[in-house]
Amino acid sequence: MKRFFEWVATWPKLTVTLVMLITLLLASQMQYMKIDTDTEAFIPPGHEATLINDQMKEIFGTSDLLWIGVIREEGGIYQTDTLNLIQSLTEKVRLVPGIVDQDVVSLATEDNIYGTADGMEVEPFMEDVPADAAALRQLASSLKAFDIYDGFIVATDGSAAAILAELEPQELLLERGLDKYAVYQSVQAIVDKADAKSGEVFYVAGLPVAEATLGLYIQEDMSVMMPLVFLVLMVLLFFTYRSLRGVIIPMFVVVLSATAAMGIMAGAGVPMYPTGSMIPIFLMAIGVADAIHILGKYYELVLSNPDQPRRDIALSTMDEMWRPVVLTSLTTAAGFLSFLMMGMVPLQMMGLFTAVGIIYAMFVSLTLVPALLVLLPVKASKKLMAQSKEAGLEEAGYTSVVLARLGRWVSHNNEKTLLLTSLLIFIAAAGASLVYVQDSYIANFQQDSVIVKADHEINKRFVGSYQRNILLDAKHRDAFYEPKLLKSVWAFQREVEAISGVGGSISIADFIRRMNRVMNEDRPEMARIPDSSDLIAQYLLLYSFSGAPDDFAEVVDSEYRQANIRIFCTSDNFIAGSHVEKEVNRLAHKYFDPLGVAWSIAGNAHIGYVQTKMITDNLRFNIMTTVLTIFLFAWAMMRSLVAGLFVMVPVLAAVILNFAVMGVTGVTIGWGSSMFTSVAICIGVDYAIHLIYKVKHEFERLHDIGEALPLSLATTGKTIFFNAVVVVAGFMVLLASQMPPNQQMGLLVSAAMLSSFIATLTVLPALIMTARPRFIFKGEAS
Amino acid sequence: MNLGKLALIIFTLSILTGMGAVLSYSEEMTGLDVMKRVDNRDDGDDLTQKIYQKLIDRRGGVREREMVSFRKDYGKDNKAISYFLAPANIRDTALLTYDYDGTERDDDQWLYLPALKKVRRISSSDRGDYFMGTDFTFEDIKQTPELEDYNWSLAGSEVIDGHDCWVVDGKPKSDELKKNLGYSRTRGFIRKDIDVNIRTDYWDRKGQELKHFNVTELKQVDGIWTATAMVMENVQTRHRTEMEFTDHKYNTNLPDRMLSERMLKRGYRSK
Repeated sequence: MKRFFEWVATWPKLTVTLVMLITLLLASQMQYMKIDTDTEAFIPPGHEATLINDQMKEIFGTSDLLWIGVIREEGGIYQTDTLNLIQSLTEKVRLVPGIVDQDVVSLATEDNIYGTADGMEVEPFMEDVPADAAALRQLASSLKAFDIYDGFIVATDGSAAAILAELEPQELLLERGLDKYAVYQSVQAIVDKADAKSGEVFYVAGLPVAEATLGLYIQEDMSVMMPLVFLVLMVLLFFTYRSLRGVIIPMFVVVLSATAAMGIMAGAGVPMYPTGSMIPIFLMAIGVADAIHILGKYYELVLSNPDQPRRDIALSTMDEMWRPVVLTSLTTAAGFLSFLMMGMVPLQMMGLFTAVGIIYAMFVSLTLVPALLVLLPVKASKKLMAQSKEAGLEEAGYTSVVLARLGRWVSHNNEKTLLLTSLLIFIAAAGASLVYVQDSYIANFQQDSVIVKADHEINKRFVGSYQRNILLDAKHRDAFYEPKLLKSVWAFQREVEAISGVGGSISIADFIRRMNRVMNEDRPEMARIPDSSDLIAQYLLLYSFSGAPDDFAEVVDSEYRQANIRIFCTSDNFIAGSHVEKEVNRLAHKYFDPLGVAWSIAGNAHIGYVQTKMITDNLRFNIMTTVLTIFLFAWAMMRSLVAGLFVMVPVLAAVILNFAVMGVTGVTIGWGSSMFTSVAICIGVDYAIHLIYKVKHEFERLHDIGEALPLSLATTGKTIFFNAVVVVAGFMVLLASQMPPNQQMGLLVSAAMLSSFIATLTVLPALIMTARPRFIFKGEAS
Repeated sequence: MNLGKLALIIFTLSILTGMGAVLSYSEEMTGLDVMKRVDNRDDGDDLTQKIYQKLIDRRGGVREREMVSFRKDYGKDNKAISYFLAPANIRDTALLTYDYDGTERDDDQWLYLPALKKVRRISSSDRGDYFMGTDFTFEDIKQTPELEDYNWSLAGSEVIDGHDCWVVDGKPKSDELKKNLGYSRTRGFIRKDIDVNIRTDYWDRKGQELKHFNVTELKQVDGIWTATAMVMENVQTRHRTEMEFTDHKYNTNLPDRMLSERMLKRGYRSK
């Protein structure tokens, strides 16, 4: 290693050029960056839930619908002008490229099935928009009487109508040079241009909208937050070092490593997931640490030996610092790599490429940084020089004075410190146990955003924009002509619709019940499944003379072997979802197992539920693997089991405290907050590593722990303080994100960093004083 | 000027006029001419045949139907009755259709449901509606489209399967018609030798390719060219309908009472 740094010190300009060239080469890959906000991305490929969902899409079409709500509070939508508006909107939406024309569903597209004296009629609800009061009343009552559509395409109270549109599959969109966001924009543009003369209000909601908007937010977030973190770091570094070099050197490290990591990610063909937007922020906040610690040591040496040649200072800085820099980088990287153990690709990639960036930051810190230190002239604040000359390093600056004092207090009150902390942790444990899981896709958006408002309005007025689909496979053709099975489907639906959070359901049974009713003089009591399967087959044949061939494609396959019960839910939040999932499972067992009909659950609400469940189920595992990975790493690198344990203590205390705060303030575990623990551990552990190295170093020199501790706190403690301030400030920038999970994550990591900094400077010294571990007190009698 | 000179001049003029007429012979047929020839082709006065329908979805799921059908022309109108033979759950279901020329009068349709033992009238369908769950719309299933609803243009000639064909483009005359028919454009390939349309491509209202129609088997039955197998494929949904026709009998002088509501209930009795 020494030879390497000497080479760097001899060829500083060459080193700088080489590092810059490599980084530029990697950065050029960024042009291939893609964005993926697909909700299903969180579920590992080949997972049962995705397979079933794909199977459903293949047979019955997607459950991801775009909902356009047309609301007219005054007098309702059954008025000629509003109906005209609905018709023209529907027509325009059908012609939007990327929208499946024949799958658009609204008052203006759907057929009414009704009985006449001599037959069954299947006719559009609105062949022409009704113009007189009687015809309007007729339309309202025919929708009211058709239970499939009541609440689905019109609100039950008549205050709103929905236009539902299906997007073409992703591959087809790409083929046509479109994406979800472009399609959503075209639809939104049509809605915005709509001439709402009578005070109609429009809302566009549904999963495609949320996914499209999230993709936009990721891009906007990146373009806002990156420069912001940049600015915050520069300001902080300037106030810390009050020199250009103090700003330039750390900035080089973070910018180069963030650029390289994103370039490598794009080059590897990995898309940007919602989690990916965090990577540059992480790297900015973490990568800066190496440089700060190297600079800290550098200034320490400059202050103690101001007259040494700069090449020697740079070399002795690196000689002392490369071990902690490598160790902290590797442990942090290893910690992030433990995300690979989680099944979810977006989290895996976030972990992987943060780790890649951290290693790159280490590479830059060990090459470019010493090269720049050699190139730049030695300079340090005259005031600090004078102070340190007079009274030693412990008096160099206000921060050092305070920290040295803290060190002295802790070393005299080590037992007290430990007891006090223990008490705090016991109390915190009670608070931490209050934390629970709650998440939803819509929670990615601000409470007052248009999307949340639209989601709320649509789900308040209609059956619900989140679907769970029960896929039934009766294993032989024509099974869904059989009255026994159809009756079970209907009974199942009736029970499912009673579950809270379920707005309604649609199945082939509903259409057959409707036909039976209209074929029996429209008597309401005849809205049931007839007893003859031949009759059912003949109804369907009769229907096929006026209906489209794909009218039932969404609820039954063409062989009548498989069916799809569409269950509409009004929310995708995790707690409500768990309840619905549990009940639906119970009812499916009850109704379909005895008939030997295989069933499975699919749909976007189910996918969302499975996804959240995976993240949170994995959370325990993730925390444990992160802790274990870092512990094993520290143990191996410091060649001491106890050192490994010591390294973990401050950050674990910090995490416990944070969980307590979450529990008390009602912050729940979702995909944003679930990552914070591991991230905090990965970053926070560095503080302990640096401090332990320093204490060990000083103790070997001074042979007096009472002296070594305050000195370590005054020097390395100060650097840790700077480091913590930078990381906290860096993560606070996430508050500027448009996505609440990012904001939450920023706040939680900041808080965890703050407390882990405090724990490192108090609990860790107290622990060292009390336990007198051998990895520090080597050879000394304890 | 003497009479002789006048006669010569008149004679010269008459020759020139005559040659002019000769030289101004029509160089090409129009699209409409071709479609008229298709429309006027002899298809018999009545026809008895068995129809076999195969509906195939994109995953290969198959539904089959078999029926026997009787058709009789009444001038430009025609009447037809079809009895379902298979599958078993719709056996003896029977369909009676009165198809009126032009668009002024809606066609009449009745269906007899044996499970209900009742005849049900079927509402007149839009021309763009699909016929019995097949990929054919009511418009497609007719011998020829309503000629006056389209602007026809001859796009040239092309050889299809070794046969020289006219290529005729049809565009519905109005947006309203486009919406009703579900097409923005069609392109037909008509065999020049026998005036039979053997292939049609359809484009939807957004101008995207929608369906392909192909005659897969063409035979002369009793001197009349008859498509005995055809397929319609929706290239967007990848759903496909195959139809086969067998046991043709043309011009057997079907009695009028064969094509009445009474016969619906009686059902089909093969001789």
